[in-house]
Amino acid sequence: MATPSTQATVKLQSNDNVVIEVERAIAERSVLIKNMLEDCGEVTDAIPISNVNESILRKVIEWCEHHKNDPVAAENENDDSRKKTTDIDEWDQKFMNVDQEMLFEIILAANFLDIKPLLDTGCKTVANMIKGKSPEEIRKLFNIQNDFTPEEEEQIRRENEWAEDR
Amino acid sequence: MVLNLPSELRLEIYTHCTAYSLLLLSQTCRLVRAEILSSPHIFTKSYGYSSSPRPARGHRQAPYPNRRGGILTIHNITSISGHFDAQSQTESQVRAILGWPDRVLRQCRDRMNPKRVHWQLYFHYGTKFWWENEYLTYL
Repeated sequence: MATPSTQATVKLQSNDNVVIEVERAIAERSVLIKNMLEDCGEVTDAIPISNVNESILRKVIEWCEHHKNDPVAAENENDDSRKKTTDIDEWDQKFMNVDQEMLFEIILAANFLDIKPLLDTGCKTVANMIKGKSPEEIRKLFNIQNDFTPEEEEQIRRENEWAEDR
Repeated sequence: MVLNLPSELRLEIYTHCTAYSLLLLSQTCRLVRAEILSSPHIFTKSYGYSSSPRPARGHRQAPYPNRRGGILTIHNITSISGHFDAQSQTESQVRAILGWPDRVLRQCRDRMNPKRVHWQLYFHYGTKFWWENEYLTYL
């Protein structure tokens, strides 16, 4: 294993070849980058973040910067309680107030970079967008094609109809 | 678009949805329906899901001939929660969203978290019985 590094900043390179220098502590909100830095020690070259473009990377860094002092969750934490609430703090709500394309890009980046709390926040945001909407409204929201056959729709209707009092 | 996400990320999103949201989401298209219904480990843990609702008063069994354990139908929904219905919406607005006239909704505050408001569902069973959900004791 490499000697632990004390370097204060690291460089991250987006897939459109933009290099962004960030504090190491901020970059280490990403478990992927943290593990990489632990394995490699001092890294002078920019770390390629192959799945993330500049605008999304800057957005993710903004989130990491704001949350850099948050306690890190235990590695094997499978905490259902974190999923039982769709509450999102005010800053995160504003942060996630972006168009759908960017929201899904952030979710993909959080998943790639292994930033669980950001992934949770993104998924909660989508869950909140769904909440209270009818199937037709959800289809419109996410541009989903209704591909059920009339028979399948009838089956769904029957499954969800109320029992008669006989 | 949500269908362009990898399946595992959609499953991640589903884990944050209530049972009622999952029920409605499962009625949008085949792919989403298949994903949700083949993931009982997700919907059975979701908020407001019950695999064994209590029987109606005077009945030994829950009065739903078409429900079994491990499935997701309206009969498995015991409560609806969330900011959409908690703060500003009136009962008629919520009813308009739900679209099923044979349910009675009542609002109640969560004892543990008074800022949170639940809409309770009362299941109308025919014309004679009411099936009350588990949150009735909060009233």
